[in-house]
Amino acid sequence: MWVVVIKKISSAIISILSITLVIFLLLKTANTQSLDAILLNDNPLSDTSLITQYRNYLTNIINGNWGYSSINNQPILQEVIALIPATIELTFFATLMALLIGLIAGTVATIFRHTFIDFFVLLISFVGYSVPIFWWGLITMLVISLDWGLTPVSGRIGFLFDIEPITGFMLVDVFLNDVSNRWEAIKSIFNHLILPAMVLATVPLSIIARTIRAALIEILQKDHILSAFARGISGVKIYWIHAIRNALAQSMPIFAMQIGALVMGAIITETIFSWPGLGKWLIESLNRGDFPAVHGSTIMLIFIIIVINSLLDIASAIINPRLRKF
Amino acid sequence: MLNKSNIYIQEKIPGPIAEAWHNFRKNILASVALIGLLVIIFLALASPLLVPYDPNFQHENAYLVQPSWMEGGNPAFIFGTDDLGRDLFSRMLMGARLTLGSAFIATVVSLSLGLVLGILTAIGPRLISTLFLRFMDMLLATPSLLIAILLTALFGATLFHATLAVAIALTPHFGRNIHQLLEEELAKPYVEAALLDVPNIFRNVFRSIFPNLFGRLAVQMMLSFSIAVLDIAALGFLGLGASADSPDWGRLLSESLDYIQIAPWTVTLPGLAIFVTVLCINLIGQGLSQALDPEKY
Amino acid sequence: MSILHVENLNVTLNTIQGEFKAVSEFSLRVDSGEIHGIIGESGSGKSMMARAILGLLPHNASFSADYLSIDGINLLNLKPQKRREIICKKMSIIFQDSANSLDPCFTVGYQLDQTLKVHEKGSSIQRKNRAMELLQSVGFESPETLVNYYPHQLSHVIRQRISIATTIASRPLLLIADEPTSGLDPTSQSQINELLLRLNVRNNMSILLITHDFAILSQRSDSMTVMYCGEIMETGYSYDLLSHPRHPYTRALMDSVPSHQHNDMHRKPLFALKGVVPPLHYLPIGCTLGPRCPQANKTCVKKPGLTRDDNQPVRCHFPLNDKELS
Repeated sequence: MWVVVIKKISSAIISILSITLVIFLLLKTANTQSLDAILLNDNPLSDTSLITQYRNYLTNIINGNWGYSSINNQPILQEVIALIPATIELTFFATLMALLIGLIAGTVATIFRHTFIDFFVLLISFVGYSVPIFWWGLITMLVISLDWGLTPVSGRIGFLFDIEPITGFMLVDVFLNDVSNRWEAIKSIFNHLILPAMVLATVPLSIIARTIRAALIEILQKDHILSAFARGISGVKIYWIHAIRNALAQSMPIFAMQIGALVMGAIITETIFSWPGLGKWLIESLNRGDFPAVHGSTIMLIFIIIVINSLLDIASAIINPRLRKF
Repeated sequence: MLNKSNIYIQEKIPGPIAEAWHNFRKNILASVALIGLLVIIFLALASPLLVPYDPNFQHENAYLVQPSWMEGGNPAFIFGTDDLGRDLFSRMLMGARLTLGSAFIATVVSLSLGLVLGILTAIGPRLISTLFLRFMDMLLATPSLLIAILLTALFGATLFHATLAVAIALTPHFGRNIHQLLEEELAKPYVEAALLDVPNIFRNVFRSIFPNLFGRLAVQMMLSFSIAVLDIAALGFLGLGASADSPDWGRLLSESLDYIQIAPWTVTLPGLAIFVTVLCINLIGQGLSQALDPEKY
Repeated sequence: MSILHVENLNVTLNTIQGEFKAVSEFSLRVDSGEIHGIIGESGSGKSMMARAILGLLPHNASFSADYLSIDGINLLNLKPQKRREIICKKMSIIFQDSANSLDPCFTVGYQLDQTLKVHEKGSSIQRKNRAMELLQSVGFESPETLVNYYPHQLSHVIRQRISIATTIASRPLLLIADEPTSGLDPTSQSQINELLLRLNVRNNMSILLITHDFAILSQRSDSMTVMYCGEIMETGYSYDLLSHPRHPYTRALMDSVPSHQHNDMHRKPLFALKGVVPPLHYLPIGCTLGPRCPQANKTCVKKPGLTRDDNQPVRCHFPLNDKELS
């Protein structure tokens, strides 16, 4: 097991190294001026070799010297770290939603295979998979927030509540701060969170439901399930212990591929719902021409994707013993 | 179909393409989707002939006219007009060309790159194979949006860069898939037999392996095409793709964002167009994979 | 008394090619401690018949029977839950490739214990002892370390033995072995066969041995049934059937086995029926063997019934006479 962990960590490091190399080369081909702006504050790079330059670039990245915003001269890394919790909070709840609903819908569709329920789940997942997320966000906002007035249009919490960001995660901060009407505040947070999270969850949810359904149908026809059934093991146990675990093991690579889509969706969702996270900041910086900010947040997002992918790889080795090396 | 004069009936086995087509036609949803997509593609291709007005012409006194089927709509403007009095139907027709065209180009480019990478990693030397596979794995996790953002930040926002970003992001999907399919096929005995016949692995890949993969590649291509349409539209929406004077569907949608409450159709209709197109493509893809492998469903 | 008694079993498959019968008018009696062989080419409905008896039919198949009893208990009158309980208690099945009958995501010990939990009452230590006993009975001399392995870490034959151990964990009265040795090399084949024979003798366990290999049956079974296209062609005691086959198909099967016991002419051509087994949805009119039968004539366009007059029923218009045999 530990071999797998070490292997995954080292491959993550290699990935990060190669991504930074690609970005560095892109920066070099584009224009050194922007590169200078981020990283040449104290390293005179211009007359050194390419390898030394890359080493300096990497050192800067590792030391957290990510340059300064060209708009307000704030250090980029600090800004990024201040903004990332909002993004993580949104994405975390969306993932939770997608996993819960997707797994349940997929299994229910399998149990009621060839019935109306199965057809309905498949159809919904098809629609969810085909919907452009920005349009879907706008439509839900138009209907649920503006027409029905059920949820607020933007932001993370109502104006009435003053919560000092300590960790950056609203739901944690609300307990760390001394707020008089705590439950009202939590309600407000969830009210703000529910719609963006739902919009962000739509695509992964559909994919999870479909993948799990397909995997379960395949697994349930396997000999070991039939033989467990013939041995008298109860249907519930076969379903929720044997079939689900095998189906998860099989679907893990497809789930892992959704991480990138999730990050992309988060950027779009944040822009639509004015969610004060890294994605919204990234698009704003791009429109403002604040290159160091764009560079910093892109690198941060890529790092997060790589780390989460490695964690997922380790998780699939836990679920699927065939992936472990002894 | 059956030869009744013979007392012992023989089973007639149709060829794989005929069988797939037969299965596909039985799938009503997929058949409808196929017709729908063909109509959309026709509209996109023939758009210069079909547009009622110049898409950038600003009709005076016709700002934010509602679509023709709504109350207060003008039959002259089928889908209504936007805030500058431009005919939405004409703009959407022209936008269809950009969205579908660039998505198609992105898919074809990534398919060709993926073919090269897939074949190289499947039959190439081990070192190159490992290197490219690692590279593709790395790319696989990176969303097209981040690539597009980098390209835009460094080289400026154009539809070309958006298309390039989507093509780069889709390449590992093809490359990985083709690599895996080839590995599976190469292990099968018929390839060994073909190698005895023509001892050139490269020629065999094209001559005897690829005909077996066409179906699955077509499914993957439909899937990638739908992703490409969605991504191109998303990039247009964020202002990273098509320019304002020739907007694609995503850009069209984002332009009217400020009027979403007073003129919801300016946002709804382009989005609906994207949604219907992608749904059609996905339904065709699903129908195709079902037709090729009916036992699985 | 008979352990298993099946009367007029029909299995209908519903596929994309249409509806057709995989097993028709199948009747069977297996006595206590008997080894009953079912022989037929692949696609003759042997496995479907076994699955129908065990209630393991795929979702697109349905079955009907006039009478179905195990150990004197009529299964057709029972509620599904109760029926399954009795089936699992009294019968077990070894699948075609029994090495795949183990769930790849769980250790061997866990799966064995899970089965024992269903059938044995006792503490975990008692169950553990019983598991060791079972593993010893399938030929492992020191099974203590074995239980911690995952199936993919073990070799094919070992997995097969373990899977047999899990199937006999419920102390079944009847073991259905569905081609337990197909795809194995001859040594492993005879090992598995010996194991089954030992279980039969030691535990007085009846075995329904499904196979397409005449050689295995001819030596070990007490009685046998010949199937073709889902129908019984001939059934009876092995000795009678082998010495006086009454159906041309039985004769053809016997002739197609290469023999080394008789002083056959050197390089005598092996006998084989012409043609192939017809697909079930294009069955010939009349006798299913009609187009391939060496002695078919006009009458064979009418469907022959199974004769019921003696203890070797046969489905043929022109049963072979004893005097025809050389």
